[in-house]
Amino acid sequence: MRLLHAELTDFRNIACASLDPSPRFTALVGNNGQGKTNALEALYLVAALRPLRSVSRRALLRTGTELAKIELKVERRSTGLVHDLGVELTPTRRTLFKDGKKVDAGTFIGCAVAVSFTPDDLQLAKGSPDLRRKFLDRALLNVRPSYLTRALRYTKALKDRNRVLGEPNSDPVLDAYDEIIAHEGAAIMAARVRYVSELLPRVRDYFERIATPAPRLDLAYGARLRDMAGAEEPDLEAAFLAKLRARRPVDRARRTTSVGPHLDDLELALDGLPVKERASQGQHRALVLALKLAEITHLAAALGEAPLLLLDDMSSELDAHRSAQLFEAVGALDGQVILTSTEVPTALAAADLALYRVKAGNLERGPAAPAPV
Amino acid sequence: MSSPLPHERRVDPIARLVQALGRLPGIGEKSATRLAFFIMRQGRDFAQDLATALLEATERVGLCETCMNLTDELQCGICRDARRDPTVLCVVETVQDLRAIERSREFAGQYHVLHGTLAPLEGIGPDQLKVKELLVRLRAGGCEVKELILATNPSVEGEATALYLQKLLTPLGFEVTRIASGLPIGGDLEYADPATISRAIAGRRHM
Repeated sequence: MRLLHAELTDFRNIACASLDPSPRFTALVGNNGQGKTNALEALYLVAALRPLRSVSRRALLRTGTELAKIELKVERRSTGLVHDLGVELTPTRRTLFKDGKKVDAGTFIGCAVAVSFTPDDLQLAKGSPDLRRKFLDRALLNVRPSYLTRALRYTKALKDRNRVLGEPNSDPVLDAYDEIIAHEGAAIMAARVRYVSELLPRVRDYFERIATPAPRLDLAYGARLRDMAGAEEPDLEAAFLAKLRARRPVDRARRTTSVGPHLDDLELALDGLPVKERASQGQHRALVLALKLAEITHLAAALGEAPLLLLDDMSSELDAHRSAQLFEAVGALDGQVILTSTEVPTALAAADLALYRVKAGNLERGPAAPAPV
Repeated sequence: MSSPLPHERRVDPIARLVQALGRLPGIGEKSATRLAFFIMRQGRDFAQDLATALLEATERVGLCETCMNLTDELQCGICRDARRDPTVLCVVETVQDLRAIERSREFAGQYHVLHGTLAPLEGIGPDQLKVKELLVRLRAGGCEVKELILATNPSVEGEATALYLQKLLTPLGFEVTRIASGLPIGGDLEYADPATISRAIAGRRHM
């Protein structure tokens, strides 16, 4: 996918900005707190329909305004078509437009494909399981757009079940919700298990290239239904349903559902030991980079074209060597990259680079090469 | 002319009309204002006619004692129609859904309207739906129903309601079926959303 043009109106601290990115690298350069990440966030929101950082919808609107707009022009290389994609946000509503017509989320999702890489991702390997579930979900959403509906239905049914758990004489209603949860949940688990197995060779390959010396890396989808990981979807559904039934008394006491993909983890091990116990700081970084690169190249292979890559302030987080490895791998995909930085990136050739200076919510196109002093 | 009492607040009649119209679904303040001024231009006869229609509909129309459809008699036209098949009963969420199926003229059995779906977060369980009425009807002497078609929406709420009813009705010896879901006829595959296509592919059949 290629981003041809972007217009932002009253989004976060950006009153009005337009962006004509380079087909290769576009750098948004400015001091902290000027709105670099906000611009990146707007682009991400159109692709993922959720902000990079979890915040209230109100916080996405510029202070004192009631309507934020993000309008993108994108070209899909697979079809050669150019689409106008728009997201309008009010404090209470989100409206989506494709080619000037209002559409629902199911139709909109997948029209723009972007992968983000932000400082928050650096916690991926050693942070809480929630971060790794999010990683899997965001990645799968790009690969299979129908995953969104599955995930939404699962979450809705789970909330309903948790409420019903607290009601007396509610076994018949719980039976109904258990079936929906088992059905959607088994599909989610099967998709995640398959994705992890497809990702493994790519992550290993990158990890061995980045970390030297590299211990043996293993990834596994860790389900609380441990014996089920790897099972086929219909078996998974039956096993999950049986588990939900068995856990019901415990779940009733706690008023929460204690088994399912909402609690699973992506397990990472080095030489057979959990990464949390085993890995050095450098290995953590290498592993995160390998995971993100594997995600990007897997997605590019699945789509038949590179996704838009959004890098938030990574040069300050990765050393020069790792940054170079990141750009090299991304460059090999012939993809488009938009990055934020406090300084003009020197590792990139000026011919490939579009430069924007970001100050107090304004984006101003600047010369790619700094003026000689 | 008596001036209004100190405590009596004077209400602008047009503002009140705009406010009342604005409570209708899909009508924002702009549309409500447009409608209000349209009504004002039409004059008294139009307003009288509209008011009478509103009052008559709400006062005279109630629930059919058999199927919970809306009717101005004890039983609705569908339940009174002797030509309809009494062995098949189609269970729907709302009267609008019943009307949609009737428009297709593809179904000649009878209906039962639940008036909603399970919605735990809004405090709606089976007791808030017309489930008790359905059971009373099915258990009544002379009831000929053999098959129940669960025609609730494919949403999580609709699906949960259908599963709940299936578990309730199957042990009573009824044949319980669920309407299929998938691609709309006359809609292009090209324009279907990924979730619908995913469901249609999962539900494919042998040819």
